[in-house]
Amino acid sequence: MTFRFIHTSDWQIGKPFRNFEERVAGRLEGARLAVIDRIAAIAQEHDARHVLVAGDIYDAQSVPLKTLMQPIHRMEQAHRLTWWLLPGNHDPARAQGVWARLRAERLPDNVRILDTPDVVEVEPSVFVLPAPLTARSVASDPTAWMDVAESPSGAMRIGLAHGSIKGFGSGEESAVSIDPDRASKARLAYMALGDWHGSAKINARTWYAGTPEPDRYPDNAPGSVLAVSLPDSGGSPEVQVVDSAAFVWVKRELEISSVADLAGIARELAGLVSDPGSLVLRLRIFGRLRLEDFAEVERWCGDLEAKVQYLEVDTSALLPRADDDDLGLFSASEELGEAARSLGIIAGDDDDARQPIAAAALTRLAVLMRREAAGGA
Amino acid sequence: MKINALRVREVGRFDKPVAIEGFSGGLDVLAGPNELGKSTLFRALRLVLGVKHTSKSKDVERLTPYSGGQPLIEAEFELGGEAWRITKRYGKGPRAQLVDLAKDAIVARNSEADELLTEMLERNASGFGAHGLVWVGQKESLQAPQPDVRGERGALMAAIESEVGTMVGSGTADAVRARAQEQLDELVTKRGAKKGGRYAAALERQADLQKQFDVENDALEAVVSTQAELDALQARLVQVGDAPQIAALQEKAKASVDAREEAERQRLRVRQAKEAVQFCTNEQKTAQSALADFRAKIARLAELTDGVCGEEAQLSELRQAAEVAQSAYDKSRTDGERLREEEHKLQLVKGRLEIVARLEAKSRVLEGAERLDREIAAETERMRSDPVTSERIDRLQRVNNQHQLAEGRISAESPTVQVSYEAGAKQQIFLRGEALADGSSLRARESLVLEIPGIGRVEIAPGDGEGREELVARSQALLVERDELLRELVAADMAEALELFSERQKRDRRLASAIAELRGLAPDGAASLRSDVADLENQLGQCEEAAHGEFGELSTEEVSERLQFVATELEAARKAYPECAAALKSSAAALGVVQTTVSARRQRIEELERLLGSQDNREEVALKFEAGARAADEKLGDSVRTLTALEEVLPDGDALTELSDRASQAAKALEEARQEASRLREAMSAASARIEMAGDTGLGRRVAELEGELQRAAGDVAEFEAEVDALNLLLEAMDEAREKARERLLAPLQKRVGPYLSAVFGSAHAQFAEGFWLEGLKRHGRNVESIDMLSDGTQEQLGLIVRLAYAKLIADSGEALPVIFDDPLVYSDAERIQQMFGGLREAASQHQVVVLTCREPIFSALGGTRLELSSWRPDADF
Repeated sequence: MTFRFIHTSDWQIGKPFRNFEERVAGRLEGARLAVIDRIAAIAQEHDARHVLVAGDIYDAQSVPLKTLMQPIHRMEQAHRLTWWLLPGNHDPARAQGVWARLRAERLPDNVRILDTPDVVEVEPSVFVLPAPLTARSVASDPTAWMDVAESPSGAMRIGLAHGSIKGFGSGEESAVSIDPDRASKARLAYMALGDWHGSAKINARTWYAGTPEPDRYPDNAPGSVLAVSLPDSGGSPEVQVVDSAAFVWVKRELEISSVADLAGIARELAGLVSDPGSLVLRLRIFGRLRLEDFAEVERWCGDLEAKVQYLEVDTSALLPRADDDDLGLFSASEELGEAARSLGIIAGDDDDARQPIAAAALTRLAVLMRREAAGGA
Repeated sequence: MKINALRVREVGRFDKPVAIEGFSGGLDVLAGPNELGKSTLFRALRLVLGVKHTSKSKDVERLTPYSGGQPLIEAEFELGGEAWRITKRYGKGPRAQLVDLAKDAIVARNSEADELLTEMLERNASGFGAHGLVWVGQKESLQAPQPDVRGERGALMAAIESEVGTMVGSGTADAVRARAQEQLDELVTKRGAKKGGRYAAALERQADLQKQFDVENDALEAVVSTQAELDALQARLVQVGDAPQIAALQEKAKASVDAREEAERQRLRVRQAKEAVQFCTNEQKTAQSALADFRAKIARLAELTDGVCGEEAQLSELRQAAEVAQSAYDKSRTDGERLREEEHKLQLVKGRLEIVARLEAKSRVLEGAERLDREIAAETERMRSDPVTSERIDRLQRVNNQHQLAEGRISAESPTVQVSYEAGAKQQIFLRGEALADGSSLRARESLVLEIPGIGRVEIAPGDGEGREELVARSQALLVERDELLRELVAADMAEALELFSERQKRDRRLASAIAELRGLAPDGAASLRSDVADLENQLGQCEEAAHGEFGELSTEEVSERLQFVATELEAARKAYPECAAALKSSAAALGVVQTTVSARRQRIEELERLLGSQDNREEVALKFEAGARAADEKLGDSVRTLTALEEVLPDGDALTELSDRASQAAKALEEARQEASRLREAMSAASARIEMAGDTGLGRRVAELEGELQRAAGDVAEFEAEVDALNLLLEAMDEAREKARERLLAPLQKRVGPYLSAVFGSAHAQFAEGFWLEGLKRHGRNVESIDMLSDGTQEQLGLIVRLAYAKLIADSGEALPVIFDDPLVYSDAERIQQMFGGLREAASQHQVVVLTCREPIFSALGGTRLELSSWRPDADF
């Protein structure tokens, strides 16, 4: 018989989106809670009755009780599922930590906390071997005990751990190293890992689920859960990556020399999502541009911001060309022309620390000039 | 342009037509004394070339003579290579005409003449708009010229641009610069961010958020620190509270305790062995003692049996002596009791007799007292109804005295009539029908009528002095009151009243005497006496039994005699009684002692016989005691050997102390471990509570949110800083550009002013502001000097030099303008004047220079063409 379950991790409930304005931050936080409902729906679609959450369910030990209970209530609603929660490096199993505080509350029967390294039978002949973390960092491999953990002959063993596989991952990893061969050493049918925010396959039996709802502009592939099927024959796991995110986080750098160059990124974004409202976008636009085009770029950004969920634009490296053609703008005034020329020299000098200031001064001069030409409005 | 002639009539002080002819077109000088009319002529020239003939301006009024008239001004000039004459009459009937002198033809009249002249000047002398700068009236040369914005500055600019080319967009630059400055001013002032501005608000918000963040972050760091502390505590608890370690400590402690307890048990066994030795020793002693005691008892029994036989005879003698002593004692006691009874009875009889005597005496006193009491009551009652009281008598005497006093005063105030007859005369003076005796004296208290028969009547009236009537009324009232009092006293007159009062006083004294007597008999009153009598009668009643006894008939004296006898007898008996009692006691004691001794001996004999048993068993018992003593000896030997064996293996004191120390240390180590674990758990609980509290208050989230807000605020501030930097840089660039443009514009002017300056000030540089104002002077070796700070003379010289430079600039650009100075160089010293003359001469080589001065001697050195006033004849049309 095949054992089916959902593998997920790194929900980091309670994480504040501090760099965002309050309105957007609220939506992003709400999405992190709402993804639990989507995971429940995905489990139902894949005929799974268990969800294994491989650590970092909460963002920190110091989240308020209300925040602690919010995901629990959602999991309780999905009462056909059993949720197996593993303490990770953000929410380690500490005295009076989040798990101790949760235990002090009423926990629904379908929510189980795996805060001790004990073999747990989740279904007949299916055992989960959890490796809960008790601190942000631990010196030894918390999964080492799985090698000698006993279970009935012929039982299916599933490892559940939170940490980084040596030589894999980014700076966001926890300071916890896990042996990449643990699955084979501990005779595991599957090793469900958390900590890496993108879904990733380490080997046939070892996977990172990634976060189901991204919280940053990714370098990996976040926003999904894994639907896992384990045949009782001992055959290789069947793992399906299923999208779960409500928001798509995108960051792009764009060098332009004219307004027309913006059309490419617009097309790309349209191809990424059907609903621009789900985009959380960071753009860095740089290059040399005609002075008269700056206003157009500004308008373009304004239009885009109105469409997407959130837009962060960095144009600090977008500089005016300040060539003769550009400075022709100021032909109506010899004095302003002279000023524009001197600013243009600084703005064109990559070695001059005042370059961005001169660029801003020049663009501002152009704006003032146009405004004056238009009648001082 | 050149001025060739100027003519006036009815202008200022010039009523008659006056003309200045013969202008050279170079340096023309009109020198003359004050009030010659130089300034009037100067103003007339400005009027005719610049003001329409129909004008009624103040300039026109100013030139109109006091006596009235119509100012007529005519000027001949060259312009654009042609010679012209303009003639204008102002005031009533104004007229004007412009004449082309070459053609000797009038080209325009009146308004057309004004317009044509203006058009000609604008067309041929573009710099004419600046003529105000170079036509300098009296005192005007004292200040540096300040070209006005419209005509003068424009004329200068036109001259400059004809040389350096057109400057475009300066207006736009001004507006843009103003806007940029405005934007900068909205953000910052010279002292920093502008209060109330957006930049200041961003800075304030950043500072405020930073403060909040610092506070919250400190709290969060404290929580993080607490979490680290909690981890350390937990690690330590795992270490300290580790079950195997605790078990090892427990095992160690238990082993130490066991060893110490075994040593304690060994000590106990030794102590018990010692006790056993002691016990056996005691047993052995007891057995030996029992054997010795048994043998002593047998000897004692024999001794007692021998002693008791001799004591029986002594006992019989003592019993007889005791019986004798008892009899004597009984008799003595019976006699004493009888005598005491008789004495008691006699005392009762004696007491009754005394009561009877006291009763009789008290009854007599009571009788006397009751009599006095009755008398006092009767007298008191009588006196209560007696009207003669001391109050009434006092009142009566007071009223009587007052009445007599009143009468005395009335009499004293009444006339006295003294009757005196002549010797032998018949007493024929009658008063109320009675003859008055010789020597009679009458007091006329009221009208007296003396009748003298045959002669007449003499009426003597009392005086009518003030208050007499009142006094008489008072006297009568007092008399009435006295009579009323006498009636109350039931007395006829004062004497009787006083007699009655004397009797009353006597009765009062008698009553007081009776009261005093009663008090003497019965100080506590008659009732008390009666109570005493009743009490005595009661006592007597109680003694009636005594009156009927064997001594009831005895008199008092007999009773006393009998009592004395009985007392004597009783005293004898009392003395004999102790001797009898002592003899009885002594014999009884002696008997008791012997009886006790005999009884004790017999009791001891019985006891010993009971203890020793029958005579036959006594040997057998003795053998048993001997066997017991031997067995005790053997048992003692065994216990001593056991003790010796135990003491050989008993740990000594040091070993025992060491065992105890080990056990204590092990127990202490275990307790410390437990206590530390307990403390750690408590500390963990406290730390956990702090963390939980921080969690419940959302501290971490607040810190993160504040950090985000702070970052955004810092971003805002950075944007403002970038904006300020950009605006500052923009303004700086614009300032530089403006300075460059200004330098380019001023270069032609600097070029013209340079030679004049050098002539007067040597190496010097003039600083011009925008608008071609002279701001300051930079001389060799000095800082720039503001024009306002220079002396009046220097200011005057600079003012003329700048005007000459303007004129040169205008002349170089096209049609020259004549320079006219009215009374210049007033404040200059001789050397500067000479230097300025050089400049004027130099200028006159470029364009016409007209100088009007009242200082002929000084200006004689200037040279040039001397102008003079002459007469002329105006056109008949004017």
